[in-house]
Amino acid sequence: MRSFLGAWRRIGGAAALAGAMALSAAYGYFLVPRRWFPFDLLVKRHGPISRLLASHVRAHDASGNMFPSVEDLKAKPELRGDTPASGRVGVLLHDRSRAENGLNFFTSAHAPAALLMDMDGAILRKWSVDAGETFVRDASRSRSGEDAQFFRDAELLPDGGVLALLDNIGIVRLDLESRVVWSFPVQAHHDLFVDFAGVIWALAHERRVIPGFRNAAVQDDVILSLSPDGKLLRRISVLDCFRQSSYAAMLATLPPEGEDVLQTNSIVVLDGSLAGRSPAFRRGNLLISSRSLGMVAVLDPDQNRVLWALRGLWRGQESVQLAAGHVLLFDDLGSMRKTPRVLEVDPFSQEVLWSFGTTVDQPMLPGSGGSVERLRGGNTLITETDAGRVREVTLDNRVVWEFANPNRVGKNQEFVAFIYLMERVPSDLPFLSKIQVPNSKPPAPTGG
Amino acid sequence: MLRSVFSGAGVILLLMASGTYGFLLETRHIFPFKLLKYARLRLNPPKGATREPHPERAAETPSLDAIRHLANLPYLEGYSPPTAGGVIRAYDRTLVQDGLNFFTSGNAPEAILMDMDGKVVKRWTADALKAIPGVQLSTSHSGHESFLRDAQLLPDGGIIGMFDEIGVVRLDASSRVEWVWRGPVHHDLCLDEEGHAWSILHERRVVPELNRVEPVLDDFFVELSSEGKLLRRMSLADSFLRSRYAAMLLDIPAFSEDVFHTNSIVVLDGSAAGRLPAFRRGNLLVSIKRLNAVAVIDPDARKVVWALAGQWYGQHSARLLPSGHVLLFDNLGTMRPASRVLEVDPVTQQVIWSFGGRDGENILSETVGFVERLGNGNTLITESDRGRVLEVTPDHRVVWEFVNPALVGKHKEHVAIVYFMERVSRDQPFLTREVSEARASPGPEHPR
Repeated sequence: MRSFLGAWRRIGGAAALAGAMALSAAYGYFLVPRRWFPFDLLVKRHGPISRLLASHVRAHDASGNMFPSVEDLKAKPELRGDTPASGRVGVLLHDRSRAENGLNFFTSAHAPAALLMDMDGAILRKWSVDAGETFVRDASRSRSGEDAQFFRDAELLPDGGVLALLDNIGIVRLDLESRVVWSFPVQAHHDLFVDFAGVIWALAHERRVIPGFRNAAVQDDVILSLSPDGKLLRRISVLDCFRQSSYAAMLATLPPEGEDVLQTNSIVVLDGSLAGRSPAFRRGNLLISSRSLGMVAVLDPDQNRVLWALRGLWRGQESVQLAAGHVLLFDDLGSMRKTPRVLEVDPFSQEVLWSFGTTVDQPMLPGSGGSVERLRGGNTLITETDAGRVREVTLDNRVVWEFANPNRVGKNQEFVAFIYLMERVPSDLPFLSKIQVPNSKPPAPTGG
Repeated sequence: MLRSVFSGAGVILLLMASGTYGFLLETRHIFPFKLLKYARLRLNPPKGATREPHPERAAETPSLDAIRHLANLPYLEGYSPPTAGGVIRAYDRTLVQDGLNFFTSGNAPEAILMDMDGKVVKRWTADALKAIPGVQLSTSHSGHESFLRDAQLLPDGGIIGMFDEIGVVRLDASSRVEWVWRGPVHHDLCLDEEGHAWSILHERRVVPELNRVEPVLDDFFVELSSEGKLLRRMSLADSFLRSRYAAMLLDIPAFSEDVFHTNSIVVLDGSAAGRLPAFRRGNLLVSIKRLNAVAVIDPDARKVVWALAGQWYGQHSARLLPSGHVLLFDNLGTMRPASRVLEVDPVTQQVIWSFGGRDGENILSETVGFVERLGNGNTLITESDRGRVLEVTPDHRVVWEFVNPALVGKHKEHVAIVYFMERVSRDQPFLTREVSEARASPGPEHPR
């Protein structure tokens, strides 16, 4: 009797062990595709494991995403800083003979602030806002409260005021003393642009159900235009502009799921300099970038239609603008080496006229987003957001000015704060006479 | 006591090993990953574009999903039931481009030369299994010996014909086989100015940038001499990777094997090189269905030198006109069940001319299509899936219409597909005097 029970116990034990092993194998099998714990932890920790997982997800991602953006891989995208801080900070390099003159206007995600800094790193002015106070009801609507802690985009105005965009919170207009002149609560995101008439153009999200496109709700991108005193002038749906255009066919190339359909991430108002080469580029039309489509497009805000669009030479493009009659953009995925690059492309012949970051001696931080600006003298200011680093390079790819963000975020101040944008502004702006340059010295470069 | 510790540790080790095995099974595809293919598809269904849309999802996204579904219909020899009316349903003798019509059809492995009244002037027949002995057809390719997917008429009255996935046969004017070239060629075959034949060839290989582990179906361009010897071959994947268009590869869904589906090829004669340097003589213009793009490849540098996508979907038959405009058959770019022919300026992307997709211009061919611009400015449009060919004037008048009298199907219930139709001159040296003189007004025969 005992041996009979004993046999059953052994069989039961073996079966339980086999079952547990099968469950373990299943857990290991589904860990990556279903993103089970601790997938997010493994990905967050930059290292060989996260790189292996990232390249694996690229090869086998069954979610229909064509490519994993930095946001796709992480459960909660980092908005303010995730690159471990190390090395020197401040202005690391300044070739006075070749770098262009001016002041640097930038945002740093350690605070909801915009900063004006000279070429040696001295901070001349800071503008900031208390988003919770300004957008009382709407600050709580933002994803994590973190959106209130940084400016996603900002513009310096001629009178020394600042326009700032806070993701999912809204747009605020500050004066030189950081007093709020007006605020416009809206699900704004990514980019704003002030045109030649002082009209403010910005991107915002709007949830809609579009029968005939999808039955489920989608996150449409709308382009808002606001008067200089913050009144809504116009509202244009980017999805409708595509659907009503001859480029509607590209919408069929998107994965059928994913609410953020177009991922529009930049907007610029055209000044008409290219209108001679194509009527689509007439003054007042809008040049936008759709990340999911990989397309740079021109749309007519009166006809509500995309008139021209291009893809293929880049993939994760942002900060798209015109410079010298060419399209200039920051491409964070296009290079098959998977590091970002800056491209200047003729939109008609599709020739690449200039690039930075395409060779081994022009290192850029993999996975980093960024922005770019062509300066008056022909140099290019390149901001690598995640690295918190800005470089000014010449047309022959020499770095003539370099800045490393000294500001920090993180529980232990261990990460470099993101720099979403930096612009070079003239040093003789009228309002500068009103501000006293502080006595503080620029931060000395630390480390060796 | 010690024994239970050991057995406890052993159990934990076994569980960790099982979890690791499951993890490696998914990430590294160790045995028996391939055997579990069907189980995997059930557990982890790919959520991108699939050949058979999930029944619920088809209802959810009515127009875009329906279009994707139409773009992925299986290839059949015929799709539509026959309609009332004769073979030639329209014929305006004053407005047509006179000549003979050369075409292949899905009902038989033949090429046919037919006059404008529908009378067969000459027929070539190829027996694939006899011409290419020992050809083994996999189940997915069975039936490919029963039609000629493409053919080119030669000055001596012979033809070069192409059997999908089987090979190329060169026949003389009496359908005798002069040479064959075995290989998994598909979709299209063209001749260059030296009389060399170019075609598109499938080759399964691992392209790590597309899929780290599984092989993909790459397309190779092969050049055959006029005696049927292989002169050159080059990979489309590598041509992309060497070019500034490498980013286009990032658009291909990671789980799909049929990554390109190139469906047309022409060798440029250089007459349009003034429009873009990429259009120089000898370069290859191809249509890549999966990228919804047309592209030009330099066969000497072996790289893509130009590419364009955006205003068409599932396209075929890309050709370059001397004006520098691209002419193509846009199967589903209207995002409705309506096809059209587009003539596009490749530099500005303006649509110069189109036919189809509007009232009174109804053409629909989901899976195949062909278009040719004729000498008098008319356009010959092959609505393949309906077995119908139209000749239209620049102002959209249909001046000639042909409907395939051949029927296919178990009960002859469908009109046989017309893969392509070209208009050729009546002055073919190999034709009998009878046909050449049919054009001359009735009268005494002219001595030759």
